[in-house]
Amino acid sequence: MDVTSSFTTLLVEDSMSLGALYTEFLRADGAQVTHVNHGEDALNELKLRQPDLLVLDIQLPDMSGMDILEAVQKDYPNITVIMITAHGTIDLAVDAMRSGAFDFLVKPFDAKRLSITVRNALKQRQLVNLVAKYESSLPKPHFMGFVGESLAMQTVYKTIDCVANSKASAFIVGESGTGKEVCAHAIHNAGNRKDGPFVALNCASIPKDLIESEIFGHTKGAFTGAVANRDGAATQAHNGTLFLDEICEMDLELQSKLLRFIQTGVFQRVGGTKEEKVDVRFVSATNRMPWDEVKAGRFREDLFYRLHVIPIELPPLRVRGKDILLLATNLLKEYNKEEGKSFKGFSREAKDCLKGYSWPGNVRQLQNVIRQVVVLNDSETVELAMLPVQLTTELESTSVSQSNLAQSFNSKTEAYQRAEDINANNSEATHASAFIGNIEQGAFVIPKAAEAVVPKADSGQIEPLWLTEKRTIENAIERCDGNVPKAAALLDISASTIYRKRQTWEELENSLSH
Amino acid sequence: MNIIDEAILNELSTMLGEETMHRMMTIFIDEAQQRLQVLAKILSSYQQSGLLDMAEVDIQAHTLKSSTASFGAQGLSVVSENLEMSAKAQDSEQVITLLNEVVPVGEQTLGYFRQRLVADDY
Repeated sequence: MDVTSSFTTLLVEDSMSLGALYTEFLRADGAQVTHVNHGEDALNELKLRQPDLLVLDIQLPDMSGMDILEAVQKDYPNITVIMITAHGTIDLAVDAMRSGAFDFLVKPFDAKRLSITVRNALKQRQLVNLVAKYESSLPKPHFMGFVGESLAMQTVYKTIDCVANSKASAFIVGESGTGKEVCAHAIHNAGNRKDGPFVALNCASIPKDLIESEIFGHTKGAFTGAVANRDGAATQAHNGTLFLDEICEMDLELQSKLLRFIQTGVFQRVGGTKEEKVDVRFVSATNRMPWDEVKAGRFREDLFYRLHVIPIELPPLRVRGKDILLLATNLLKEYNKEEGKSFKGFSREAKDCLKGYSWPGNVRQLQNVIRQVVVLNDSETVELAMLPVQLTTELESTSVSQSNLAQSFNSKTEAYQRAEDINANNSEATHASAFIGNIEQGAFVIPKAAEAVVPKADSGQIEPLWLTEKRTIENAIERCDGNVPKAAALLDISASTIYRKRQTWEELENSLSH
Repeated sequence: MNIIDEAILNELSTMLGEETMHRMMTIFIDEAQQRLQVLAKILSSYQQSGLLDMAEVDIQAHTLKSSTASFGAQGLSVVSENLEMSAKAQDSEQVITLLNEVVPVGEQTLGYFRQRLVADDY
């Protein structure tokens, strides 16, 4: 690991001669050195520039070096600190290391001693940075209120990170219950406006004749009931974020006023003549397809382009793979605690059911289901029978149409699901095949699907057909991450067939063991 | 005990080079002189008023101890260390004794460094 490249150092030493000497030692090691004599000067210098390394004398004329260490640990934790001390203050140096200093040197020390300590400090700093870099590249299991490890959600997290500090308008699209408001909050809280106001307005829930006043405010007497001046959402969101949920529900006349506001930052209150200017970041959301609304003439095209600068698509829950169980487990834990119950987990059948369900209401629906289970039951395990009827009814459905599958796979986020399947664990198969899904008008073409993953039987042995069938089906389920309906569809049988066969295998295995 | 450890000075000189060593010694002499002057003033003030500024003795002696050790001025470093410990212990008698010692040892030490600077110039 190369630690010889240049690094910056702040040296805090009250002795002029020692300061000059240590500066020469550090420069010989490649440091750019700033030397100060007093603690106050050190704190002022740190406000302007944060060095890679701080070499800090414990005994200073105006304060203790420990005070500076405390300030650095609190405000600049990335700076590596080396304490320097004379004999009488070794106990303090040990305390300093407990408080986060990397090492300490006892005066007098020579150039070699300082060099070794500095190099070790820089090496450790490099390692810490490397670990942080690798950690940030790992899939995040949760992010700013979201819970999810799937590739689709990692993409959402990265997009939020990228747009957070920008003033560009973000447009969130997703089915009902996918977390559009959570996303808007995440964009606000991840960026430099996080200390500013976050104002959310649901354009669908406000009566048409009041919505203009809700957004822009009104003056006293502007209309019946306007008994005083009132600030609208635009004023309240100054220096912060204005979140317009269900933006496609806004009527056309108000859309043109909103367009002007977005273009200029200037608006007038209802009943007012004075123009007001604010600094607002816009985030919009809809569960409709915004371009369909434009084509139908219900949404202004120019407003669409103003708002739809950074699109963020929230994936539906059904394509988020492992996230379903991750969310269900988190919710079970949370509601279990709130309701004072004793649930510890899910049975295998319950897990299969949750994973296989289509979740039209997405995360919100999952929240309701888990809440319902916890409130209405009392057990350590969530069993299949505790789940609502609509989940188990869908599970037993014998027909899973190809066209439904084609539609579900036709979404961009299904590509993520396929990418995750390709990366899944290899079984002991003769060969693993990657699914290449081409969707053309409802047809689901699997060029290599015929080469299903079948383990080799031992040569010379003929095994019962049901065993071969069992292995094929179980491998398909494993490849689909435990998703039985999905495995059934790909095997071109119904899910209920798999469940019936499982029951038969169990009976066969039990009869063989007796 | 020799008041100067030549080995330390020579090692510093080799490591830093002549020009830088010259600059370092100049800074050291200036600083040591200033601190010794402060200690001399404290002693003189005590002799006139009977008041002894222990805190200031502690600060000056602490810094002198470390800087002199780094520049090979062993004799002055030892006296400074003793002076610091006595000041911390609030031992007035010992502080006065050591103040009377540190000033002449300091002058002798600085005399050596000034001579060395002049010798280096030639």
